[in-house]
Amino acid sequence: MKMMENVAVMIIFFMLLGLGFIFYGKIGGHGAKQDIEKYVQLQAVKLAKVVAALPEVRCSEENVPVQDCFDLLRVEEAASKIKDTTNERYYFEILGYSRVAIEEKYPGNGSIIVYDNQPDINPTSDLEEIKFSYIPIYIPITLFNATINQYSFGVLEVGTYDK
Amino acid sequence: MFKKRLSKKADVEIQINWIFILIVGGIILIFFIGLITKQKTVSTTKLNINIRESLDTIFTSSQVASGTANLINTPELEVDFDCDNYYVGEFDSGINKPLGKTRIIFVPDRLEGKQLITWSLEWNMPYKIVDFLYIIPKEMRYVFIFNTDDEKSFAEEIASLMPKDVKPEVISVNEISNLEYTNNYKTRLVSFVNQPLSAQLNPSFEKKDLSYVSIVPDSNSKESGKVVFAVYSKNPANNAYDFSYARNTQDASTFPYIDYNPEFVTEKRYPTLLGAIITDSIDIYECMLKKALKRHSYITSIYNGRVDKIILATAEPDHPLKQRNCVAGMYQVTDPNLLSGRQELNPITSLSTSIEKCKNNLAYCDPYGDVQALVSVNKKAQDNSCPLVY
Repeated sequence: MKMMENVAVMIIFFMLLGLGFIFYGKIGGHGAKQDIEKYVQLQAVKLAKVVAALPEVRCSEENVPVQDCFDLLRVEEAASKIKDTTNERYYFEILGYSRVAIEEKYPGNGSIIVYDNQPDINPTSDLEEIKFSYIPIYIPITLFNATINQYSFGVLEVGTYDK
Repeated sequence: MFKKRLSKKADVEIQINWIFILIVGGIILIFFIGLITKQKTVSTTKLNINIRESLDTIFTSSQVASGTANLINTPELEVDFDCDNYYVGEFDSGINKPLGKTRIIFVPDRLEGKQLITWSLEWNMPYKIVDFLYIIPKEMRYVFIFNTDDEKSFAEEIASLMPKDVKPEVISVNEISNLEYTNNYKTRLVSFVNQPLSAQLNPSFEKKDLSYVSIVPDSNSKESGKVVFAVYSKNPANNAYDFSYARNTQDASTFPYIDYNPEFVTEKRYPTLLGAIITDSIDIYECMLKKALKRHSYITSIYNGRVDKIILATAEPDHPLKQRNCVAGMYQVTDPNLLSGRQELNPITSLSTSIEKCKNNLAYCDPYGDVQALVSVNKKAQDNSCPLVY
């Protein structure tokens, strides 16, 4: 009888311990989700900074960088070079799954997609629906056209594709 | 009789209770010991991941801000580096992460200690290519060696460029024998002496991590030259410690350093030379230099296309560039000493060829002349208010 009592106490003890672990796990999981969201936002801001500092596209005068200015001729060249399949892999290491576009707002109107790399999603896969969110950041910039020596206003769009 | 049987039954029950307590107690003990062990592994992994993430942030921020040096306090570090990856924690079981093809980091092959100095410098050839990142453990000792007054001033110039927390010692070649081991986990001797160093060091350096690099600047400019990597190890022939080449031969242990200090920078900088000084691994230096040249190649192809477009625009009859007297010849190199007397319509083409040569064979890498040619063309374009090359 006493032994049965002991066994019952042990069962209740382990049940309480199990419940404790489930509760701890749930709280931990919630914290991890928040961490992931924070990480994704941080990545987008980091990328915007990296793009703005790329010598491939930024303006310079005697090698001195001009703040928030993009050289239109360089941007055009970079866009065509990056699209080349041989260079794609190299720039993927810098820009990852993201989109970088430059839009001229005034006086002209035009848009150049410098880089756009979306993750491959297998459309036949029905095991799990995978959705990638696009979180763009818009930065006002100036565009410099060296051949006509003219500046124009534009917007830099930088966004990451995150799961 | 009945009482005796009851007492016997109670004895057996007490014994079974004790066995039960032992078994259950053992299970509970094993359970908690397992839990603690698991938690310890998890927290070590978490710490390693945190260190990795912090290092990753440092690497990324170096791509956007140059010229800054920071002293960073870290948990007790053990990070190993090679050309492509870095490993936090145990080499086999720790966390590893690729460095990538675009990050150029000059770092000793192993970081230890609780303080790191991070520093970044722009590499201009002649336009900005990339920001080099240097990671220097505070526990590492640098000793600069000179012989002549010229060598002394060069050694002092380089020492003054380094972050103040590095504190390199500058000593004469005659003082080497007085040098003593000071409990630093790594010691790097940097020789500015124009002859091979062969010296018996204090025996306290035996079996210690000691490396050596010899700097041989070009005769016409200190901005480019050669670096020869060596190690201090036991010579099997005479069983004595001595310097020997890091690789089998002197040629295999020699690499160029390729710097250009733009005019607008008041203080001269030697980014690749500093890279050769800071890293103690010939493999890391070779690898990072190749990565830097690859980056140069990508940027140069973009600049090349841009100048082609400008030159093409100068040929258009009513183009505003023509009204500004910006003609195609503006971008030709006029100094016969530069570009080895060749005439190129686009001065970047020649630099591009030199860089491709460098990528294929570092031993024959000498783009300095082409860099100077490009600088002269850019100056000419600026003097005539024409679009600049860079």
